Amino acid sequence: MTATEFVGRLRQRTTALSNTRGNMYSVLFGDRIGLTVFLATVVLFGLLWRTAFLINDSYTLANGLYSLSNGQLAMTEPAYGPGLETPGASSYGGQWYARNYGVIVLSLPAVFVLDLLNAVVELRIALVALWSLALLALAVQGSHLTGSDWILYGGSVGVLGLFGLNVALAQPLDAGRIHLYALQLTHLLIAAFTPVVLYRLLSGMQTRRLGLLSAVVLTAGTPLAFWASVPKRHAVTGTVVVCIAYCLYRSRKPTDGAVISQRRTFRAIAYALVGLYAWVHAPEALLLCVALALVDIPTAQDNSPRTLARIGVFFALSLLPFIITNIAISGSPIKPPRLISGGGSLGGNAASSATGGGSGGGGGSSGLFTPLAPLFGVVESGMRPLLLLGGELVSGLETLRQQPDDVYHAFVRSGSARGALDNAGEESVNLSLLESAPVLVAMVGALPVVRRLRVPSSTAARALSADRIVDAFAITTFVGVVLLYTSRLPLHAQVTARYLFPLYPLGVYLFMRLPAVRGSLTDHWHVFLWTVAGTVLLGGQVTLVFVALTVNGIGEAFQLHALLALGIAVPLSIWTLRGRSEGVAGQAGAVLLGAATGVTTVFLLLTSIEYYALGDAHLLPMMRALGELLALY
Amino acid sequence: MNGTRSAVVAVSALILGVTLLSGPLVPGVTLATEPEPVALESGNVTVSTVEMPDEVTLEKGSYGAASYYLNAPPVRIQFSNRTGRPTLVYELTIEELRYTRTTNHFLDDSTGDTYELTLASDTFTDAEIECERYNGTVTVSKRDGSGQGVVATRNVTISVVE
Repeated sequence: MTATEFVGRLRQRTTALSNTRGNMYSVLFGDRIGLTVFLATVVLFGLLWRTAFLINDSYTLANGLYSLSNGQLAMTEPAYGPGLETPGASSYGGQWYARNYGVIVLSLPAVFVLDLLNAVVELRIALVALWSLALLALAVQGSHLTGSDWILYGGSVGVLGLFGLNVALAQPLDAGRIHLYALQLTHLLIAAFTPVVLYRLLSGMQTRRLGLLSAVVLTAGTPLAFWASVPKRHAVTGTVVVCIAYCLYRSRKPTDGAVISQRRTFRAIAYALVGLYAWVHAPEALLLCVALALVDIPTAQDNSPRTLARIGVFFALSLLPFIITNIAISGSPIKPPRLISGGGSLGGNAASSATGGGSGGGGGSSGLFTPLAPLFGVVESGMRPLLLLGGELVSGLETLRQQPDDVYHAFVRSGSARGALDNAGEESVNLSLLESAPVLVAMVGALPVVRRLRVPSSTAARALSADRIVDAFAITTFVGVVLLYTSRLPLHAQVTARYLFPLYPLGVYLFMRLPAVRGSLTDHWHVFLWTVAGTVLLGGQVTLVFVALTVNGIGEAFQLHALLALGIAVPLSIWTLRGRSEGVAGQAGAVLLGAATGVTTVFLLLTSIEYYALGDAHLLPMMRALGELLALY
Repeated sequence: MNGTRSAVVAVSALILGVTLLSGPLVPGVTLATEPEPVALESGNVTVSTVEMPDEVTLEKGSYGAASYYLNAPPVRIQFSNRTGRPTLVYELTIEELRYTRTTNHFLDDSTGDTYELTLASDTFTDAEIECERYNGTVTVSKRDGSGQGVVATRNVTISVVE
């Protein structure tokens, strides 16, 4: 190789590297607004991050990660919590195993990074510095987007001031809980992609402005920020669902990206996401798989055996980590950590029909068909989960019919629902779906829209557009999640109907598709944003006074927020049912949507700072100081 | 290098620099400090008058909350002498419910001559509350440098308010 050849190759490599950077950027965030949404969300989640265990289930994940980072799949010692037998842990062959191995493996790099940081610097200061740098990056992006240098200068001063304040107030962070922090960091970063991908989806379908506004509604108007730093599956599910919807959308649109040049690749990725998610929570992955296949296959232009085989191979490959983990743990490809096992963390309550525990998974064939046994095994393995899922959905449907009270408590008004009481005799702190995110009531606006829908007469017009296909997927998944969990709700330890978490991003997507909401937000987006800000700043203070004066405990505080949420949900539902967005009606809609979003933000802030301060364990010293200052009851 | 770029570089460098200072690489600098432990139950406290509550209530939660909240009025205390960091304890016992709740108050130099000793609220479920009233005992005790002692005790009625 001559010197010139060498230089030439080096140049090629450099451009390739910078291309890789550009490609990473566009794959992850799409554009600058996407990156800005990501940074803003990460900064918000960092503000609310408490470095403590909110829920017992997280002990299982932390112990699992602890063992795995020491090279053991089985949990060896209870580094966290009261012991190894924590909710969600399962025992095989005398050894205890965790669950959600997908996120546990994803958290390994975070453990490594945190260990490294801990060796060199004080962990608290390091994380404060990372948060400050994210805030600085947000200021940089903000100044690029607005073209104003002053945002950057002001932002720099602000970042320095906050960093200084945090360092001045800092206390050391317990370095013995690195596995918890690693899990929280991973979940938080995954959760931050939910609004990013929702933005990309809706900015593709509609406008960038609507995409951005939907990201605001999702982040500020639903409990996403509450669950973001909690090591549970919920935040991950939300992101996966939105990513599947996005891939489905892109698979029906001409490709324009540099990385993926074929539409069917997006289709395959959608299935691969489902397969990978099975590694986190198999029952929900199964539901997503069914919903995706139900919508995708009938509407696809190309269902040739070759294409389907290709997708099948992709899907099978994506299932490999799940299957390998299961075989390593229980010896059966589909037997838990968790397959259909009550979907939840709650031993007694949710160990319903289908705890994959005792009955054998793949080996139930009789001696007569011995040569065919492996085949039967595979078919049986494939069918059993589907049958179980079907059973769950049917029992959900029956609950809807037979126990309307329970459904009402789970979805509309929690209040004094007996079943919602904590089984430890502690006070009930469970909000219904609507009380957690009153903005979702805007979905009732679908009723007048559906009534006006006409079935197109010609076959050509009946072929669904990309938008309609994603709508269909969102509706199918929404209904599926509702049916899957209806029979178990209301239940204790839900806080904000967490089992139903995927409904928050799906619901925001669905009502952002309604013409009235779209029109109102497009014309009056500044009214909307000002209302959100006003509700948080002014309404937040009024709420604070109310809580301080009238509330004796967390249960009452939650119910006060619940009533505020329902109070705003009622006029919002009336507005969406009328479905008008012209003139004053449009302004009213923007105000109502903004107020509903702001009410939830106030709830999220107070929950993180006060109600669930978890012993003032905030990551940021300034938030800890704020929590210590506020003593409301 | 233009202004915005240098601002970003300067701020980032400062943040990273301070972060490096916090670690073992630079011995002698501690940025994150544990709060100083204080010597509790030290000094001395003498109480001159105690005003005990007459009535304690169990109130049905407002806003539709599914609980009863324990609502015990504060005990008013006047000191004749208080030095150091003594501890005062408010204790409520309800025999029939086999229930005891205590709240510790750590006094220090900022405490005035009079003090309102409170009992932190607590909750009961619907199922636990069966009667309309219960008998209970309120006890105020102190822990200081000279040891532990009961300051005052009184029987109270706990009435359930729907």
